[in-house]
Amino acid sequence: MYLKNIISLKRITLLSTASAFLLLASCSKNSSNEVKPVDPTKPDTETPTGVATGVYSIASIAMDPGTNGNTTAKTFYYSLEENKEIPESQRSTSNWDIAFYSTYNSSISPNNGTNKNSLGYGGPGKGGISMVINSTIDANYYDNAKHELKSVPARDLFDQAFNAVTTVPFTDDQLTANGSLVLDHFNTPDDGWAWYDFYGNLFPNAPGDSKQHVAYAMPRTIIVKTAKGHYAKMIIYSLYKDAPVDPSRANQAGYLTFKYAIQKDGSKNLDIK
Amino acid sequence: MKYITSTIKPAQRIMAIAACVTVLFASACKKDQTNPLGEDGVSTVIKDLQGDIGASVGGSVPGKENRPFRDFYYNFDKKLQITDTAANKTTLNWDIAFTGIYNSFVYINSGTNPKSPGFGGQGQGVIVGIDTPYDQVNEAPTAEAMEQDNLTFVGMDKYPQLSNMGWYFYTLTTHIAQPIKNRTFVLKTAAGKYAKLELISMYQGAPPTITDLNWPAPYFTFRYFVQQDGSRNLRTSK
Repeated sequence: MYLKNIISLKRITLLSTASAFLLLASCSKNSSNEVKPVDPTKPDTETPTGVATGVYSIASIAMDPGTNGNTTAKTFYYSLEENKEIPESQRSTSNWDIAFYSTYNSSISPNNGTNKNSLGYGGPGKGGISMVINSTIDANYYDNAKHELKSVPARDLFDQAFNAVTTVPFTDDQLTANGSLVLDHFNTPDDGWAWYDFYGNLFPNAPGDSKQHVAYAMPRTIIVKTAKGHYAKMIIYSLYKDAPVDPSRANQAGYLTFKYAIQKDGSKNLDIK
Repeated sequence: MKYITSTIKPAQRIMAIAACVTVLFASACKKDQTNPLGEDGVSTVIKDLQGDIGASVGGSVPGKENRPFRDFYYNFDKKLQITDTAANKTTLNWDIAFTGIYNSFVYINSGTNPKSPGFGGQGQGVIVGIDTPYDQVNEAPTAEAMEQDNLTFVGMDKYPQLSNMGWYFYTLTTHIAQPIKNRTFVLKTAAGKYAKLELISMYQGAPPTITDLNWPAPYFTFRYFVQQDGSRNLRTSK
């Protein structure tokens, strides 16, 4: 069963690489007369596309700057394979791997063509998403009974959580079953990747509404299967401009600071430095 | 002016006034029949059911506290609001729960659904959304279809998942919720009977548009119909 899965996955990767190569070849036709023939039987490792296996950090990239928390926030698409933003016009392609939508861009969708809760529904994406909750790390900042933050999680916890994940601890079925990752227990019973302090309960003595309606990213590692079938892990540090450790209402929402590691050999090995 | 008043005889004047009143009355009656809050003679219409008005959603509002809203339950048949949620959680005493911000996330009572407040009890609740006006929803989907599309709760539209059909759009910083028109929810009550529900407003008096975020809330206006014979027939219009 396990082997079968790996083989079918490889086949998928092979196919998508082959088609990517075809696309590249057709694109380069105009600029060069020497078009190399495509051999689809060659292993995909010989025709790498996008970034190499490795760790990538993205600081304060704008998603929907100045968002007012409307549930119809501008959706932000990102390619982990290419390490770049993807325009909305390519929503129905496999060019993007994760998308941030809904209130404060807090719902994170993988690119999956068959899950109706994915923004890639109906498209070619084979992606998935899930999250690792490390109870040892959670104990530092999270009240598991109340589903509330006890304190603002320290920045080093994020890196600890990220490094602690060395392989994909989920099956493909588990990854593709999830439509999106969401806010933690905010009007729903779902575990999430960020905690939204609607009432300002974490700082009851803060002046005015300065600490109300503040979203805190949590040190929980997100596992992504890309649209093309590679595995990645990511940790999100902040949803605010310049990623303050302890954000307040005065900080500008709609920005994303995160780190991710992607494995391009098709394996689930995420022990990537 | 003087000429006109003098030519109309008192009797004629009364007739004219009566005619005017009749016309006004007739148009008022007509309005009531197409009133979105209107009674259809079969459905139950609940106006301004007071939720937890002691909680604040932001800023410093006099008389309100910055704390989470207290949930409450509602029983369709008894038209009963239940505020002692702890004592009634896993009972069949309630059909829907008003939870979360503004008490606006409405959950069904299901004993087998871990996401329902009634988990562990006997409730048979299921809920699905249909984009058809309430009056035109004449039949519930099959039990299988409802199970498959079960939303468990209805709140903000497309939150947190795309498939979450909600009953309103919401902007967190302005705190204005705009109900979605012509969206009807078909559900099973705690006892497993088919019903339909329209959530109309969370603001006092159910004004058609709200621009003032301090408008008294949450006060729920909604209407529903429970088919008591166990069938999927939900017809309420003639």
